[in-house]
Amino acid sequence: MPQWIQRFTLSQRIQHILLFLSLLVLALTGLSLMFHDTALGQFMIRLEGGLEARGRIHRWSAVVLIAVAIYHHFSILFAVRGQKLVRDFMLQRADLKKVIQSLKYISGKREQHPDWGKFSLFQKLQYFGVILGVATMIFTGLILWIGPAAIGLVPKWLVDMTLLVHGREGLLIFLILLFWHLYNVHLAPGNFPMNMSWITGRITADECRELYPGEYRRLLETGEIKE
Amino acid sequence: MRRFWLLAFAAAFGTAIVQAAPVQKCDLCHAKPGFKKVLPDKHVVSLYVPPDSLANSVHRRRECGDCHRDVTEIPHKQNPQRVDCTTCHYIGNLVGAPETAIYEQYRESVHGRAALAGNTKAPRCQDCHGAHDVRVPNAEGSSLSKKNLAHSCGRCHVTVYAKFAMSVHGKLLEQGNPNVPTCTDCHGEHTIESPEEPSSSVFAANIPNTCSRCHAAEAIVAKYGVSPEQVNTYKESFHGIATTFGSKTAANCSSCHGAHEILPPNDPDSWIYPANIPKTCGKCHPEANANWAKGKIHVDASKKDAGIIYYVANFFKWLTLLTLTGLAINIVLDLYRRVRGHRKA
Repeated sequence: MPQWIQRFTLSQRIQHILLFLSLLVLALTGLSLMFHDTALGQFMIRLEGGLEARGRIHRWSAVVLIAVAIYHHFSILFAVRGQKLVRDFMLQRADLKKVIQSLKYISGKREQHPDWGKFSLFQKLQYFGVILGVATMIFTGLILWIGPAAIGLVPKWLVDMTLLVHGREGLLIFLILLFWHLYNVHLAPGNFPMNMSWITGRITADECRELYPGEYRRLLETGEIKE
Repeated sequence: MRRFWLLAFAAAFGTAIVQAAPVQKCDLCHAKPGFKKVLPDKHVVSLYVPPDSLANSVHRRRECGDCHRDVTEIPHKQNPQRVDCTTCHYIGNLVGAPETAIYEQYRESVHGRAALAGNTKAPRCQDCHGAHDVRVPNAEGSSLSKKNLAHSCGRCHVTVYAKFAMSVHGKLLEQGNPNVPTCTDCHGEHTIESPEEPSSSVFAANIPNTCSRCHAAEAIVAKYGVSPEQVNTYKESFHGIATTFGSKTAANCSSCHGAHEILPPNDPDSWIYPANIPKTCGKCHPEANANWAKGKIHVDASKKDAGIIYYVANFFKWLTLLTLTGLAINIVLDLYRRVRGHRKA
């Protein structure tokens, strides 16, 4: 029997599922509008039930995303586990040194992974990237949601820019998720078809020792796992 | 009294002359400049046919009786019927009249359907092409030449013509500019249809395509300082996308610029003069205020004149390219490390 380490709480897993489902629907409905002049875009819009239905689906998905975002902020502000999560995600000066160690490891000059804490620098950047990206998308999206009324409040060019940022930022987030996240947790050798921890919330102690030795030692010291 | 003299005149000369030289025979009355009749309501109708009108027309080889077939004796006792051009102008005719699809197109047009339904005000061939002086449409002096056509349509469409004559298109047309549209360039000729018909070139959803025939052609509009990109920027806008996907309420070109009354944006009377924009947008968006005029309407983020929009778009372009390059390198390095790890093992 392998030893299991609980990496994500149930609440965090549900947040993650709602996050990626809403992002997926938002990306599909958003990109189909962005590429409305291509055959694929038009096919997608028809699939989504036409231009107006597409808009409704997009906005309802946005409601889910906003709800997750608000819940998450409450959890990291007030819940003990949420507070710990943010501490684990916090960037540290040592992370820079570990990037160099990581490069050495990749080029073969170092035998071991750098000793990340619970999360590697890439995972930390991904977390803050998601927060920054989602915050931008929600902010610009809400302005576009009220649509023409927004032009009454600010000059039209600012609304034009909001539309531009919403589209380009959305495309960027989609591409990052597609090329980075999809590779890391689904396609990378050893993970295919997917790393199951998003459902189970746990990894084996062996995986933990291999990938997150610092976290592994900490768990040994606190007695949460045995050798 | 005049009719009496006509009859007397005819009786004196007999029918033999009619058969020998029918044209001259008609000329006896209709070549006199003062020849006219007074209708019961006191309207005076000139019956004078200038002798050179037929001679200068496409029908110079035809004789009066070729069209006025119901005039079989002179002087004729009854008013001749309206001439029916389709006696000769049909596909398969043997008299050398042009064989084109326009005869059938006219029957399907808004004018043709009205005329066939018995509307006596609906134009038939001769109302636009002229009666005795029919010329090749683009010939100088033809009622359908580029310069004269709008005026010809305006004989019935009076208010529309008045608006058009004051518009940027109408004024340039008056100066003899060959590039500006006249009525038929947007509405069609024999295919002309009501703007309510989905197949009409001026049906709401088709207007962008109709305007784009000139306004997307750099060779036509660039020399007047008009951007050929306006059609593309419209199609990329919310209004354009909604129109493409069948919205009947989204704005098209003429919703904002006007149709017959189009004026250049620097004309204070133009619908899109900055001070008028709140009112123009307000037709659909009652909340429109002065802020709506602050910024371009046709925004093309790939052009420098879009201002800050251009630079933000460029920022995102490079951010996206650099990020993707970084991600690609990351994936390649990761795979490289894993492959090397395998070899060692």
